[in-house]
Amino acid sequence: MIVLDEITKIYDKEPVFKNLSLRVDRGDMAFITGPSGAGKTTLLKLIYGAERPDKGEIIVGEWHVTKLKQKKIPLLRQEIGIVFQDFRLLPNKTVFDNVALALTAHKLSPAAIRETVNNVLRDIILLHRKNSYPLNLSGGEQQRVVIARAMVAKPKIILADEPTGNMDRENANTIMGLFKDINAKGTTVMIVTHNEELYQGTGHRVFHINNKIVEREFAG
Amino acid sequence: MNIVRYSLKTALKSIWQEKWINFLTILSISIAMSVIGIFAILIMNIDSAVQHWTRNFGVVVYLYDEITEEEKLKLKERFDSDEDISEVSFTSREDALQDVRRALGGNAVIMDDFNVNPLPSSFSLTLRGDLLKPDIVMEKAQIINAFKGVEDVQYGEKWLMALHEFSRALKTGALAVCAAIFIATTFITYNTIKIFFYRRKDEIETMKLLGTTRSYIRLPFLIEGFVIGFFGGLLSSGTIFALHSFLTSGAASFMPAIDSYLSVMPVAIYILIPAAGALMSVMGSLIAVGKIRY
Repeated sequence: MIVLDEITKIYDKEPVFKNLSLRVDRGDMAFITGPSGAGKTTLLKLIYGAERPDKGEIIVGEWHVTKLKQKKIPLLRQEIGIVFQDFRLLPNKTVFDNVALALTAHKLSPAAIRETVNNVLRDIILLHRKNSYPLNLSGGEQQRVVIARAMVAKPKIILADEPTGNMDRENANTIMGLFKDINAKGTTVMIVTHNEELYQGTGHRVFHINNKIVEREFAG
Repeated sequence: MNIVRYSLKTALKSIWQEKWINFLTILSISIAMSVIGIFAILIMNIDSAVQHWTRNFGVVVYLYDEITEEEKLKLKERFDSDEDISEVSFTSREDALQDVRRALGGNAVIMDDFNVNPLPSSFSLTLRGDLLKPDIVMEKAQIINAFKGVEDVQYGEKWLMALHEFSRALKTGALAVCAAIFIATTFITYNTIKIFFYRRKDEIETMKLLGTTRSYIRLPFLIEGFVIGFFGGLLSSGTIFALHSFLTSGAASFMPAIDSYLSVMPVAIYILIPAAGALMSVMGSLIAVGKIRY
């Protein structure tokens, strides 16, 4: 469950959000849309504690994010898988190591890490590229690695920031297929996108952010 | 992954990957710690030299001419039983006169001008080596001066004061240099670890976003700092051992005087130097990593 209640966020004396509220229930899949600069990425950052609101309350699962102490933020993030817009893959690490990075703070043996990472890579059909470096992968493959890294720790929530970016339709469909599978297993998925094709006809909830608030909420 | 296993693995990997920077850092720390070791030898040998120079230091207790034999005996017993006094010898008025005559040699005739022996009888006391500090000797002299039959107590007060001032100034200087080098050691490691931290900045930022706790981020750098400081110190211990061995055996064979001044280097020094190197380096690493904010 993700709840943003009356959130106000101000940058340089200019509010990005003003009393913005939204709610995504556990196990749901939701989309956040809106024009560039509407604050879609900031909204995700507020959810995983990289930014703090100036007013309002944020609840993610059992965590009151707004009241969370610095040292507890890693624990919140261990329950969230994040697909970053800029991928954040480490070029000097292999696909396997990039994915395994998300398990660093999880108390698993090296053998268990190996098995878990291999299983996830198998699921997204990238096991054969596990020893490759990110720069040797295509854009679609890199995005799949990012998704693998986001889901490897079996998080309760996945947040994806423009996961299909500038991909062609085929690659975008593959990526969306992965998110649907993840959601079907009970994981809450929140996707930020400006690509209408991703949510049209899905029936999932769409929050359109504009003018510092959720301007429209509708079924995709 | 288990934090210790992960941190050790990450630290060792980084040490190997950045072997040249690490090697140079270890070398720098080793040079710095060797200077500390040399000053440690100096400090220890100042004490040894001071004790060597003061081993014949005596306190002379002059007695009244009217002192009775019984009082003299009582004083001797007191001095003999005093644990602070290692040697007691008595010089009678006649012996003192003989000594003066002997010292004057051909000019001894001037003593004939005296109708009576002007010299008092005295006790010469040798104090224990570790008590030869101006304030202790002064206090002891004051106590003895109050004994019945004692007219005056004399000792080389100015010489002793000067020697101790000299020794104290040398020690203070050596300690100041040691403190400066300790800070320098911390700074050397700080710089190296800061470089490594910046090189891994992207990885650390990503790890933070993926929920990695502070200790997982910080510990590998602290281990790396520990290893750098420890091996720097170890190398320095080896250098100091070689230097001390050379001075005690090699140099002493053609400069025998060195041997009598050089004290034995305690084994603890060889352990303390790597430990101090490791401690200062860990501190440098801690400052370099800084406060990790999410």
